[in-house]
Amino acid sequence: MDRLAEREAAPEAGHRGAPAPAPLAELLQLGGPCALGDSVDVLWNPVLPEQVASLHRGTVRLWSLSHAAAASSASESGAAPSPREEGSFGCGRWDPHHAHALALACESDLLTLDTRSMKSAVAVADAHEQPVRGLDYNPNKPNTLLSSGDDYHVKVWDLRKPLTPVLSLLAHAHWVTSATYNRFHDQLLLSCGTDSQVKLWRAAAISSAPPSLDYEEADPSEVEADGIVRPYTDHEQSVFGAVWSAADAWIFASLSLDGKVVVNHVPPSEKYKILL
Amino acid sequence: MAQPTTTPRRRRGSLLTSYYGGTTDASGAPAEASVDPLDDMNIDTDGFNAPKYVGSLLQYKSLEQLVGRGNSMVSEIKSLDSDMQMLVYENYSKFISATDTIQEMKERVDGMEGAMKALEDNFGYISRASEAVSSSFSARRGELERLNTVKKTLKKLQFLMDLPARLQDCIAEGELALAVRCHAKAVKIMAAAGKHAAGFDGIRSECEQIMARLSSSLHERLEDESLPPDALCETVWLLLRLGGREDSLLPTFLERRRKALTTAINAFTPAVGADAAADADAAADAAADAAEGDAAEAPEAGEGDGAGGRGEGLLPARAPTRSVTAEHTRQLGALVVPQLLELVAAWRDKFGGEGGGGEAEASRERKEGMLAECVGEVCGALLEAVRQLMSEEAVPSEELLEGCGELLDAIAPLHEELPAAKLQLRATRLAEGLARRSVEQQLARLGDRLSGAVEEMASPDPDGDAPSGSLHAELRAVGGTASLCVRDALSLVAPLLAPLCEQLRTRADGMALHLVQRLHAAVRCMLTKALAPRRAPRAVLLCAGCCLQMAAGGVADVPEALRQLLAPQGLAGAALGFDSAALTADFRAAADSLLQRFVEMQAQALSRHLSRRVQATDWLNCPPPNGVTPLVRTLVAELRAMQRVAASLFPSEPLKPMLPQGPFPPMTPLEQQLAVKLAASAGGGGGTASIQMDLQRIFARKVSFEAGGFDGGGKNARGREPTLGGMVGHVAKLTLKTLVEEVRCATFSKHGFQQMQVDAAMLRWVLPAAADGEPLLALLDEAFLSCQERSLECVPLEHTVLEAFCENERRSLLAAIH
Repeated sequence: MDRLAEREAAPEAGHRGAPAPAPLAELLQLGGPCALGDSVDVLWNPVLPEQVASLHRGTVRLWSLSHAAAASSASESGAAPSPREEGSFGCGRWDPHHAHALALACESDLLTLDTRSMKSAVAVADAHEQPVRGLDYNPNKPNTLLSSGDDYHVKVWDLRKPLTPVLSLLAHAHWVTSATYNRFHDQLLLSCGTDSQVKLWRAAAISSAPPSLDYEEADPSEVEADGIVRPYTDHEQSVFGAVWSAADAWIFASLSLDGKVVVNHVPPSEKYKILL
Repeated sequence: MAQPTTTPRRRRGSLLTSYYGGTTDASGAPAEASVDPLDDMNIDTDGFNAPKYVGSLLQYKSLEQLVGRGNSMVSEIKSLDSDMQMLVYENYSKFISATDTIQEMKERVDGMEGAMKALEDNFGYISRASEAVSSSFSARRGELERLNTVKKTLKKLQFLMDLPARLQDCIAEGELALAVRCHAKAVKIMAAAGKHAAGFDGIRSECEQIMARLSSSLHERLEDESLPPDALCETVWLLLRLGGREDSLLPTFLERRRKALTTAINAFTPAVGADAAADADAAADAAADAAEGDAAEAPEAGEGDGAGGRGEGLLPARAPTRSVTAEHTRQLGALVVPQLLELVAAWRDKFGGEGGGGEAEASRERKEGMLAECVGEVCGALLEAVRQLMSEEAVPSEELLEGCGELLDAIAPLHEELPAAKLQLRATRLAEGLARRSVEQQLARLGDRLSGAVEEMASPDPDGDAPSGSLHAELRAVGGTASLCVRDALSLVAPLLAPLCEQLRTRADGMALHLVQRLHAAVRCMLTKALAPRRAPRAVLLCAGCCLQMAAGGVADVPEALRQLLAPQGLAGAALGFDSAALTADFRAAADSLLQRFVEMQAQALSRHLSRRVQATDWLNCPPPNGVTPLVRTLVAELRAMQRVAASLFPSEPLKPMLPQGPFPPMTPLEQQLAVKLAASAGGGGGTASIQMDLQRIFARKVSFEAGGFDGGGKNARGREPTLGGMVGHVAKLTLKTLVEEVRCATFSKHGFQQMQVDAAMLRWVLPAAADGEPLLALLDEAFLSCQERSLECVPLEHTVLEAFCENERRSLLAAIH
């Protein structure tokens, strides 16, 4: 984790069918070596491609990359300490709608960092009762952040009104390791947890496309309430990751401790409910 | 032959009748008809043949019979004789009296002839005299008539001439009504005289000046705010007679009265003291004085007196212990209603309009409408005042009931006078609204009390560790308290149901339904309160306890109390509207969810603690184990504390000790496997051992962490009832799961691994005693396995060493308890 190759090299290496991938050439290092278990994550800014944030236990660092013909270089352009004395950063996520906003989780707190000043913009103290494990921005609706934590809950926040979550779900029976928005239809949420379950949720009410703008046609009996669409119990062990397919809007995969990857799809009935 | 013997009397009667030529009466006719007139054997017929009859007698009858017949004939003849004599005598006497009468008449007629003659003479004289008079007067009649007319005109003239002086006098003496009447008469005369009498112009103008002065002075008087009502009425009436505009004066009048009464109502300050009932007059006086201020002391006092007197008459004194509110209502009614009655009477008297015809009728109707509107407004103010009086906080329902009764009583005479204003209806509505509000208040208070009880239970106990027995007693008391509160509230609202409705002559069903709904809401209030988010696990648990108690009996008590209240009033049906089954189910569901929340909170607290400890420990550089870590001790202590608190909810369930039970558990299969693996790796065949481990993992039981997992599980066949063991087990399960996950994130050295082995062994010994052990053991296996995977050097401790450490720990645990 402490020596990070630039990802631009990755597509070639990850080409399918290559029998024995050649070792990747190292382009550059982000800073010097750091202690074991200190690095948490590296986050590439989706809006400004030259910006990378590296998340460490006690600090978050911002790097500016520059590519020259001969060599690439990285220079640290800013750093911010953890807001808590003892706390450490757990995860982070760049805001896809705002180039300079980086959401971070520090223990049970949430905060967004304005990377221009490296100061906290919005802070939610004790967003969860236990450490936060996952963050995701709504891809279609600005200022909406999804967080999951060790307190078995998944919460959706409107960062303009951060006092209470917009939605709070008791999602799993143990830690919720990750929760992500569907990239195309943000009424679908995917969560997974150490109770070895993957769950698909519907949150149409707080999505970018609120249900039934046409009030006359809306029949309350037909509109199903938000909630779980279905749980997937294919895993035997704690599930640590669940992601949506980048290409297909209805396919997702999950990975559990025992190395099992399960690829699943959204139930057709749910699909049609969204599409029609 | 038998006939003479059977009907001798009739025969005699008919004989005599025929003798005197009278008509044969109806009854005699058939008898006559049955007698053949030609029967020569019948002695009563004309053709009677005496020798034949005697011959037949002699021929057919015996001697004895003949003698009998002879005797009977003799007696018949005798009786006929006597009858005849009597008749003759009677008729003779009548004849004599008739003769006398005729004689007398004859004499009188002779005397009358002279008198008639004199009368005739007199009449002749009278007619002659009359003719003479009429002929002599006929010449002068026209002159007399003319003179008479002149005299009348002169009289009128005199009246007109005197008019200004008379008007002045009248006004000076205050006889305004007379003055106005005179003037009206004069105006009529002058109008009759018309334009020909130009000489009257002076008088006319003078009169008009006087009347204008009078009118303006009356207008001035009208402006006077302190004018007593009757004077006001008089003034307006006079002004009307003086040709004032009806459509401005009448509204002004009503407006003035309305304002005065409204002011009186608004300024009403209830006379203090319950003994005021004794001297209601004085109270009314005081009230009236206070209302009118010093502006119109003297007349208003008189008015107040009248009002008080009438009030006393209208409202017969009730029980001497009239409540304060009722007394105040009565005073208010006594202050306003008689005045209104007077207003109505005066209005009808003075302005009601007279005469028939469609127009007068229409105007009368319009005026009635105006009056009704005004009275309605004043009564509106009165009702508003009463409403304010009675909607003050904490007016007991008996007082409310009494007050409403007083109000209705006070309104009743007014309603009789003016049914169009719908006063009764308005008063009834008001009373009903007040009753509803009172019911709502009472039940809201009940709701507050109930949630207060929950809050009190949930509030942190200052004593800290109360013994679970007393806690349990407190919980039990909650059910009782709730029931008591409900009964209290119901007894408080009881008078508002049937008695009030009886008074209002409305049906009590609606009110009862309202009550039942509100009661439902009040009890539900408790539920909401219990479900409110709380930070302290103990509070959540106690709320759950409250809900359990309510579900167990508290809710069921409510409809019982309702039935007791409503059944005597014939409203038992409304009590059925209280859906206690659904409410009980709700309470049970709330208890379940609260227990779940409690378990979750406990599990999270413990997990957080455990995570911190595991993360803070440097497992790579820790010293060799010399005992069980404090982590285990904390874990056990926390679980025990939770168990103790939660035990108060489950008194029937035996408290399982959080202590090692039985002998130290033998080596687990995993440990044995590890030993085998180590031996194998010493021999150089690590592959098979790792495959074995993977197999072990595949067949390891998949532990369910569903929240419902603590409700007894499959083994405990008590259905969905939550159990203490289940709860403790679930907390332990979640905590161990956290341990597993944390272990997977850590890296262990040899000593770290050994330390973890010691802790796991201790937990394996302690935990199954308190809860369903199987999933816990599976989790401990999982932790051990994960630890094994994450350790750099797997050198397990000897089983005996483990046992020694754990035995040490067991002793210290025991020592900590005792």
